[in-house]
Amino acid sequence: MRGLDRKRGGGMAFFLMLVVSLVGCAKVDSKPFLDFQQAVSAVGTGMEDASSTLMAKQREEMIAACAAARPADVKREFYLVFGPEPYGAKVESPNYHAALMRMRAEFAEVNDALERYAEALLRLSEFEGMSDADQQTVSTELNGTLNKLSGRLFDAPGGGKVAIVSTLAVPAFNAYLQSRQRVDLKSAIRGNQANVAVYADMAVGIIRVHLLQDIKTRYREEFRKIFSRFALADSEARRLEAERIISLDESTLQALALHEALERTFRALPAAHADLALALDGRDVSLVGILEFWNRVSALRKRYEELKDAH
Amino acid sequence: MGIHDDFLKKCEALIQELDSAAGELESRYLDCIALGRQQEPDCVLLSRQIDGVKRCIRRWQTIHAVAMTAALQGLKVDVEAAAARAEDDLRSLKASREWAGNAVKFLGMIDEMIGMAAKIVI
Repeated sequence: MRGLDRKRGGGMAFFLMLVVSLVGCAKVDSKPFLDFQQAVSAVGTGMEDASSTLMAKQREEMIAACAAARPADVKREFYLVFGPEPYGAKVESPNYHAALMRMRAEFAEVNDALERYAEALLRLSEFEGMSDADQQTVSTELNGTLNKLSGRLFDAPGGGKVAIVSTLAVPAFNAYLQSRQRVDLKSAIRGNQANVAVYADMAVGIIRVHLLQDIKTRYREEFRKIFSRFALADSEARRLEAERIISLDESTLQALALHEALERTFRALPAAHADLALALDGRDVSLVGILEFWNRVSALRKRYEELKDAH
Repeated sequence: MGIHDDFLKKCEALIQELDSAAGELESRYLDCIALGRQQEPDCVLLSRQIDGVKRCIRRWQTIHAVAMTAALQGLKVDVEAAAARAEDDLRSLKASREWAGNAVKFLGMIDEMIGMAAKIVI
């Protein structure tokens, strides 16, 4: 009888060990989610820095353009007409500076939604390891955040509106918070995939049309000024102008490299997001997209450091 | 592809084309400077054409920013008036002799975009 009890006790201990080991394996690995969240935050900062540099240069240019314009054009492009919304204000024909300011503010808002989404995903990845009380608190908090994020809409290709967190993904997130079935979390992440891709595509458009174009236009203007002096200078003065030409080339090439790094980071974002669904499958899955995104962010940071050192 | 998205992509393509033209004209103007010919009529014309192309680029960047803002807000936007103004800029450039061929190409693109802009106006 005692022998039987010992056998039963041993069987129970093995069963408990099995359960513990299975539960241990079942916990979601938060590392890819943490990497994603940190990379999203870094790329947001990169875009903010690049656009604030552009805005500062633009303001100077806009003052010069305003000073040189005909009075009728100044009225048309700079005179604010208020309403019809209580806080609405617009000009008859938008000037570039004002249009950039508004676009930057809107992009920052959508970017902020992406950052909060990445933070929410990180919390969700830690959800299974939390106590019941913590799960309750986090559940309520995330529910509110995700619902709010699903309200921040932007345009979708093919018509209609989307949000970083799609309205269809919200029930899937809620289902996960209730059931803790990873299939729900996976489905929620996949439900947002197309929207993250749209956001990344918009960011690339902004970089190409505004940030990159500004580098090229300014380069040509600056080169022409220096070259005009160079053509007329004596040999001593030429050396000074030659130094300016080389400095201009160097700084322009650095700025191009920095913006290329920024664009590549945004292009790597959708694949990294798609990897988060794969990350739920376990530790052995190869998360190339997240790794690539992380590498791009590291390259971007390096470019910033180089640029800072150069100036 | 949605109208908005398509419009933004076409804006991007047009700005890229205009930028190539600006680069080509600027290179020719630098040759004028190198030879000390800035005051010659062909170089003066070149300089005016460069200013005109730069103005076109700026106008289309403004239109892109307005359309992108609306896309980010999930709203429709009135870019038709701005697009028509940009067309005027280009038509005046078309009057410049050497640039006529290029301007015709860009005007073709802009015609298509104005049609598209009309569809995304509120």
